[in-house]
Amino acid sequence: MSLAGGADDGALARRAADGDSEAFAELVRRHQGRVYSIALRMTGREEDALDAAQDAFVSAYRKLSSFRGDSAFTTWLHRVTVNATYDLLRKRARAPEPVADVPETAGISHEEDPAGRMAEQLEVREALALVPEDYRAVLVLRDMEDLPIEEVAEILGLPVGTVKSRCHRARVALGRILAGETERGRASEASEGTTKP
Amino acid sequence: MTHPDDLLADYVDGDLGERERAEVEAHLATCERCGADVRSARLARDGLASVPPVEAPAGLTEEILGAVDREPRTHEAPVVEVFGGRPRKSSRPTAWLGAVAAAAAIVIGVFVFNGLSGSSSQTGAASDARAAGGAELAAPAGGSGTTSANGVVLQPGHDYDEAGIERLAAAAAAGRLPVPQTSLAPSDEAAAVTSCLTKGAQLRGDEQPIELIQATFDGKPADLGVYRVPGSNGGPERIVVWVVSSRDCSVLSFTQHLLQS
Repeated sequence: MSLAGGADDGALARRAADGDSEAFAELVRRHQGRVYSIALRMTGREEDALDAAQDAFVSAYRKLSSFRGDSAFTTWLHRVTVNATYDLLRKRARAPEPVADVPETAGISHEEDPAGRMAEQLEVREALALVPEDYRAVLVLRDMEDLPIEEVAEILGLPVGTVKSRCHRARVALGRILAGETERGRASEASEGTTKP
Repeated sequence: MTHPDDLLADYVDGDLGERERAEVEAHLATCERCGADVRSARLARDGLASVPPVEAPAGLTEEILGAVDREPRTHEAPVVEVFGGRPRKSSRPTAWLGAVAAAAAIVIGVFVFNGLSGSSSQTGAASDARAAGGAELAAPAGGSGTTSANGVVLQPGHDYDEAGIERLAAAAAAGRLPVPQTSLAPSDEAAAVTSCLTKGAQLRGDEQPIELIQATFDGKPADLGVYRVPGSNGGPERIVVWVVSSRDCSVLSFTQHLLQS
């Protein structure tokens, strides 16, 4: 491992801002997983997630001098990531699509009813694609990435109370879709009805 | 007690102290809406927790570093927006970002109402709207308490609730808005309501509402924005209704209704 391996994020960010490309590469290696994960869950497409992750790190690289260290580097980076992902979604001007492939992941057990479990996960991803971006961002950061509510608030630039309320409303919206209480049910009824007599 | 949405998030997470939990449980014992919401929220939270972690694709580091290498080394001046306000990228002179901004200028258009009324009669949403009492909302301008002024529909005596905004969304999906948008002109008032919705609901700011309404929601003065939102590739478009407080622009509610494309 390089010398950069032992330094903390803040020190690496300062070195990267001064032009140390190995320091920046180390930051990428450390944090690309979470950045890609946020992007994938926000966009629902692997191809878009890859673009968004690249955009996020390009943006972070350009903005390194504005990282003031009064927030954790990860919080700052996640904010840049959410920003890049919103931009990408705007560019695509389309809602995300559910991820088709469930990646093989160590430590996750599917031994009981694996098919049912996969179906459930796909359903959650499909439902997530139906909630508005701003709700989706809170759900991804809070309930999928498991970040503390205070960090979610800082990433989104919102008061904690607002994020808590939004988190609840977002969960309710998603829960209703999962329960078939809202448009999911109507959507399937509507599509079944397209070939009506 | 109004509906304690912020406490309900902590309640569902099991993060409330003894006293607050007792308060919330007392509220839940009498409030059917919050009880149903908590059940929905738990379903969502459990569902989200069941999704396995994402594994980054092989070669991601190289892809990212390659993209960074292709960027000219031009540090921006410190960007205040990174820590202040909404995480939205401001326009920058760089060519490729300009192209992104241009591609992003989605104009939904205020005339979509015409398209809606022409096509929606075959959708499930349309029949839902009628079944769900869309007729109540289908009253044309001049219906009880409904007036339009300067691009905003004023419904001073109309108190919306969750069911009410769902009916509104269904009615909009059926092309039956309280006032046809074509009769509403852009104005400072409409811009103020749009700005509050954009701020409160964290919209991008380039959405074109098909209806703006001032009324009350659960007794609180509220601004309602009805939007038509594109669907995923070939999928149905959606009618989305955001409700924000007229006082501080905080989000009071949200609902959506799919349109069949």
